[in-house]
Parts: sequence; C-alpha cells; structure tokens
Amino acid sequence: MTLGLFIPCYIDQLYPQVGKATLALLEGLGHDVAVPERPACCGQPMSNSGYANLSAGCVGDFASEYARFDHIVSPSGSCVLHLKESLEALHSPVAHRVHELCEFLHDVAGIQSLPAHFPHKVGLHQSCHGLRGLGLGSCSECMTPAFSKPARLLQMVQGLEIVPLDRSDECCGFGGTFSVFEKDVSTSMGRDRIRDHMAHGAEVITSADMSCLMHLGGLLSREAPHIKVMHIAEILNASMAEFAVAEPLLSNG
Amino acid sequence: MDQPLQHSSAAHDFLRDPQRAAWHDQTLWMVRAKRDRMASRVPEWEQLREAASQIKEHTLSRLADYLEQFASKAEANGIHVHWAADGEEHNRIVHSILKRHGVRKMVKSKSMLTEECHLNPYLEQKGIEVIDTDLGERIVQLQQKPPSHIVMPAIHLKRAEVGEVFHEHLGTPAGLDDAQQLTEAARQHLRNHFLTADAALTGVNFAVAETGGFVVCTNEGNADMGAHLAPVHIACMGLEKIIPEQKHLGVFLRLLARSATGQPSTVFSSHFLKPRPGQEMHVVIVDNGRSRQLARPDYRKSLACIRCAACFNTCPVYRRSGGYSYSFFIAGPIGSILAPNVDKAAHSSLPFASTLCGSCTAVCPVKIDIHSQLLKWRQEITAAGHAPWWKKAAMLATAFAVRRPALFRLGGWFMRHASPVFNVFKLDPWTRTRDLPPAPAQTFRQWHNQRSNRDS
Amino acid sequence: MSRASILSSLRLAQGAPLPSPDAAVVALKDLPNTAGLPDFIATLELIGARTVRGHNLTEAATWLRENIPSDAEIASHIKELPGTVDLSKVTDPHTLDGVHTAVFRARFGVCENGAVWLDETELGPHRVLPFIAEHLFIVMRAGDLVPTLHQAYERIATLGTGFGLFLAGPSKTADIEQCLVIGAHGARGATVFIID
Repeated sequence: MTLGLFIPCYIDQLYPQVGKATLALLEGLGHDVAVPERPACCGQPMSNSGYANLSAGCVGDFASEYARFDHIVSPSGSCVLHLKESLEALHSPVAHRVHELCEFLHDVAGIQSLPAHFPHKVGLHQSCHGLRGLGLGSCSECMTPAFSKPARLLQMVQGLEIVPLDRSDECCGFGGTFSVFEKDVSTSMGRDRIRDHMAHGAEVITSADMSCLMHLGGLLSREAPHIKVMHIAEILNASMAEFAVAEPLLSNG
Repeated sequence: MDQPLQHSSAAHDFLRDPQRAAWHDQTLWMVRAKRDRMASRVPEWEQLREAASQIKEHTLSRLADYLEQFASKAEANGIHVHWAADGEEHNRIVHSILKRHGVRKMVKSKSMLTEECHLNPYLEQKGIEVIDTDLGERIVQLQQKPPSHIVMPAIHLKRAEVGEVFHEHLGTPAGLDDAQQLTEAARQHLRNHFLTADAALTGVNFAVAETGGFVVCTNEGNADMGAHLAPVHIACMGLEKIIPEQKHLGVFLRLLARSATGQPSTVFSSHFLKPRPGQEMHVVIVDNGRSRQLARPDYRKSLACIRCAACFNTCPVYRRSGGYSYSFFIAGPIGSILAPNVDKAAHSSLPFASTLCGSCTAVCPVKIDIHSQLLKWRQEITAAGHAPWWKKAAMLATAFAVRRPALFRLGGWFMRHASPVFNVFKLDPWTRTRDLPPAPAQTFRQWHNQRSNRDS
Repeated sequence: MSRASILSSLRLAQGAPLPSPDAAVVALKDLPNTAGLPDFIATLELIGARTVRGHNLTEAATWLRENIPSDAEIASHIKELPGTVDLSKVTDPHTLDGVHTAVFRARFGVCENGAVWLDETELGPHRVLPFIAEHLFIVMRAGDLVPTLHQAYERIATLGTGFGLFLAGPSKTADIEQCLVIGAHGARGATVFIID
C-alpha cells in the first residue's frame, strides 16, 4: 500500500511535532509514507471566505500530486473535508482515498491496540468538520447510536482518561477566517469550550483538528496556561518513541 | 444611506455584557437540551426527518399544482383565497378586507410573514390598531421592537425588563419581576383586547392541499382566542406552507413542537377547514420572493423550513450574538440563507456569521442543508463584490503563495518570526485575545527534507 | 390579483416533479408501537394536565361536584354532566367569557403527546369554548387511544366538520425568561377523566 501524507500549511509551519507524530504513527504501522512538496494548503481558507475559485488551484495540485497513492492521510479533519468535497465535485477518484488520520487508523488500518501510554485526564474536542462533516462520530443533534472514532483510539492509550463534557460537541469558534472576522463571537465560543473542559478536570485538550486547538491553545496560553493542547496524533504516539521515532528506524533501512 | 448592519459589529456590542451573553447562551442551550430529550424518546426520529424532507422536496417540485388544489378546495369550503405577489400587495389585501368590515382593532397571533411584509406599521398608518397577542410578541411590540427569535420573540429580555415594560404600558406595580404575575397581567390585558377586536389575523403553520384546510399551532391559545371570537379571520401564509395531504400533518406535527421547544406537542393544533356560521374567513397566499428562491436550485430547500427555530437554539453564534445582531427579520442560520435572496448587499455579512459547524443542518427537522447553503451564499456575495477589497487581496495573495513552495517558505518564515511581536502588541484581530503559538525552529517540511537527504 | 402570475412563475421555477414521499410516510405509520394508557397518562402529567380514572359518567359528575366551586359557571357538551350555561341559547361567543369549566367528550387520545382530538361533533358551534374557559374537563374512554399522530390522522380520516383540534393540556407560555407559566390565554387547567 502506498501512502501519501498531506501536512497542511499551518501544521507545517507552526506545529511540526504534529506532522512528525503522524508520520511516526503511520511508519510504525509499517507503511512507506511519502510527503509531496505541493500543495502547501488544501485551499479551504479561500473557499470558506467566499473565494472557492481561488482554492481550485490548490485542489487541482493536490489531485495531481497525490493521485499516485493508494491512500492519503492528513492529521486535519477540516482540510480533509474540504479536499473530499472539492474532489467529489470534480468527480475525482482521489476523493475517496483521502482520509483524516483517525479515520485511516480506525477504518483502513483497523488497528485494535496501540503501544501508547499517556497517564492524563484528556478532554476530547470533537471538531465540527471531523464530526459532522466526515462522520468521525455521532453528533449530539442526531438520534443515532453513539460512537466516536477518535474516542475509540484514545481508549487504546494506557493510563488515559477521557473526561466527560457538558456540551459534547459544541463548536470551538475557530471557523477559519471566522476567527478573525468575527473575533468576538469566536473568542466567546472558545472561552466557553475551555471552561467546559476545565470544569471536568481536563489536563490536556485534544482533537483531530489542529486548527481548533490553535484557537483554544491561543486562549489557554493567556488565560489558563497550565492546560495544554495536543493533537490526537501526539497522544496516540506518546511513548511509542522507543520504536517509532523516525531517525534510528530509517538509518537502518 | 445607512451602512447595512454588520453581524460582527452588532455581535461585538452584544458581547460587551458577557454575563448577559452567557445567560442568553445558556437559556437557549436549555431549549436545545429539551429538544434532544424529546427527540431521543422517538425511536424513529431520523426516519421522521427523512419523511418530512421528502414530503417538502416533493411539494416544492409541484408547488403550483398543490397551491391550486388548496385554493379550489378552500374556496369550496367557503374560505376567500387571495394571492399576493409581494408584501405590499399582501398589506393592501389585508387592509381592504378590514376596511370593508369597518375594523378598528385587529388582534394578531404570531406571523413572521406579517413581520416580513411590515403589516403593523402599514395598518397603523391607516388608523387600524393592531394588537400582537403572543405574549413574547406583545412584549416586544410594546417596546416597539421586532422579535429577536421566531418562536420566543422576547427571549433576549430578562424578567425585570419585561416588568418595566408592563409597568409602563399595563400599569403593573414597579419592580414586578415574577413571570407568573407578569403573565397574568398580560392575560387580563389581552383578554380585553380579544373581547373587543373586530378582526383576527393568524399565521399558518401548514396548509393542506387535499382538504383546503390549514393548521395553526400555539401554546398560549391566542390564535384561537382571536379567530373564534372575531367576525373576520384572516390567515396569512407564505406559499411554501403547503403540504399535499392531511396525513402528512402526522409527520410534521410530530417534529414541530419537539424541535421548537422540546414539547411532545404544542398545546393547541387547530385545524381550520371552514368559517364558523356567520364568520368570514380569508387566506392570503404570499410569494414575496419565494418563487425566485425556488428557481435557485442551490437554495430551494430553504423553502422547506417549518419555522421551528431549532437552528437558532443550537447555533453557537446566534446564542452568543442575539437576534438583533442579524440584519434580517428572521435571525439565526435559516434567516442567513433566506436573507441574501431578498437583498445580497444589505445582508452580505450574514452568511459569514457562522463557523460552518453544521449543527443547524444536523438539528433541522426537515433536513435543510443550512451550512452548505451558507457556504454557497458566501461565494455569490463575494462574486457580486459585497466584500471588502482587502479580504479579496489577502485571499489572492494566500492562493498565490501556497502553490509556490519557495514563496510559501519565505512567507512562512516571516510569519513565524513575526509571531512573538504580534503576541506582544496584540493589535491584529487574532492576537487581541489569543496568542499565536511559539514558532518552532524548523518546519515539518524542513525537518522531513533533512531527514530524507540524510537518508539518501 | 396576482394568482396567475404567481402560479406561472412557480411553474417555471419548480422543475421536474420529484417522486411521491408516500412510502416513507406509510412506513412510519406501520412501525410497531406498543404505547398505551400508562404512556398517555404519563405524558398528560408531563404537560401539566391532570388525569382522573373512573368507571362511568356518574363518577365524573361526582368528581365535578366535589372539585368545582358550586357557584361556578359550567358549560357542558355532555348531557349526563349538565352545566349551568344553556349552550343552545348562546349565539355570541363573547358571552362565554367568564365560563369557569368547559366539559367535553374527546373522540380519542394520542399516547405519544397527550393530545386529545375534538371537532365540532364534540364542540358544537362554539369553537372558542375550549380556549375561553378557565378550566377544561374532558371525558375520554380508555380504549380510545392511538399510539402516534400517524394513527390519529388515520382515525380522523376526513375532517367532517369545519374545525378540529388536538388539545394537549392547559395553555402555557415560557415567553418570559423561559419560565413555564400554565394558563396563558386559554385554560389554566385541564383534567382528563378516563373511563375504564
């Protein structure tokens, strides 16, 4: 199986550790993973701001650069949703080969256990695009059986406790450029999410979407710096370091 | 010319009082929670939504036929049926009926359509007193304000504020803030109006093509109090209120109250088929832009709305910005997809007043793809030039850079090295409330390339 | 009159007819549902109505005598439970203002939402009575229940009269700060007398 990893622009620039953890997880499963240079961005910021025409180039680049892979994985639910929807609209066969990381681990790789250890109370922030867009879990509005792929993965981590929340899947208020153009509502929503996690004793807030965590982390850094944000890949990869850290493994091969 | 109301600046004002905003959020969240509890007791809930969606989509594809069928049945039942192309014609029709009967006072139950048509000021100008009889609507009418929510018109007000309004207008004791006593005062006040009104106007929740009848749902009983006492009953409906058959009411009435307020049913679901002996009954069917919306395939499903306001209650933006932050008379997510059909320029900020979280779509009892329509309107609004130039410039620059690795690296380097400065000065909209993350020494791609080079 | 122009613009806009939703609606009606009297009573209590069980109208008359003030105006549509207002003489519905208790039979009840069905067979010509009265006393046979609104509409079939009503408990409002207040414009209380 050939695997392409798509690391979106902001993760590349600001959260390289998330890219590294994702790569380590995938390589730990025994996959050969390639990371094409282009495109740097899925194009969602333009599209959601009302310039879908400006995102077409990114989507086109993606379709041609990643067409050669059996599966494409990205640690960002929101970017994956945008790519999937845009590629589907173009009837591109690539659309169905793009996966958000949890979806890949859960559905494609079908992992049943993880050698991870993370003895902390963790609040799971369900990103809206992952949850309602990609169907990574059941949403609270729908009267369907409850499930959550990210939560199932987290439950495989030794020592980890998922804290319950009052509002299990309310939006954090990031919303891409919404966070800037509607900064007051965005900030208010983010603060409310943080309070919910804090009230239930979360030490770490995690999510399958780093963009939500960039927003929540930015607030936490000023208002409650003792609480950390970590991408789910970092937690699923925690203490896998011994065998999954890329360098020694690669120098052998 | 006034600048159109921008959602973000109105929301900014609303959020200046964080306690009040939190209270507003929590109050509406409780309604959402009640809805969840009620819906979860119906095992076939998702099946009901699907059936409702199918009925509405089918109906919209045969709207003209069903309206004709409805009109001829209604006329055979002794109801006078009128057709209004726009709000102005609607108002003229209503006024002509009232004038013929020499009406001086009309009681009105909740009808967002009459808000849409600005009927109250029109009739008041003609010397006819209009009394809104839904409690919430009466409160905001006394304040000379529009409803801030389509199901709970005064949800933005606190008890003490209602007490002040009633003290001023109904003569209740100053400082009265007990909901029970305030409601009782309104009951007495409005009972008197019901008994002395010359005509009653109601909205229509569902009009049934098969029977020519229509259904009006209330909890207070105000629509019926008006309609069954007055010699003239006028029911006004947007033309999308039609459903094909009476049995379809079973689907919609199971969804409506549960979605709207978390009740198993509204207290009164009144089925009007014929006027009572000696009474005159009119139905006014209004287009006012609906046929235009029907012709837009991307947005036609917005006409399936049954006005339950579940999308308001679930919307994290609505809950934290209030109904008055929306420039359209219907606030919330559904209003934001209806408004641009009426005036793209005036309501250009509304489709952007959303994180596209999709909760509205998931909660909608008739499965309107609200958040997808918001995204589509964004494209049309920017294409029509109703967006600031700098936004377009920023997007053009981003789109250019992210496809060119060297330029992207350069831009990224600059951003990462500038972020500590931004965090100190807090001048841009992001860092005003949030830190940018500390810049890593190396990007993921730098690290990965280094590793690959070492490897090869 | 804009009838012709509205209909023609709708015909232009509406596109090709979509398939009938009938299968989805019928499937809902045919879902197994075992809801019965206990569910109906529980729902009525949830929505602020009172339920009383009895065996016959004599017991209903006793309940009324014991629970309604002796000087209260009663308007009854059940001849075995005579009221104080002669409804046959009422021509102006406004004169019903001041009725303390209105007494009706309900055709049937709906377990899922506590609603009872009344139309002009039960209401007579005085449509306003269940709204204008201060209290409602509704008599229903325990056997006359349907599980959901789907069966209810099957039972109504064609609305034979000019007005019909699903009534679910006393009137209420939560328009002031979401505080529930029973007794908005309509009845302040509703009692459903269920005859086993």
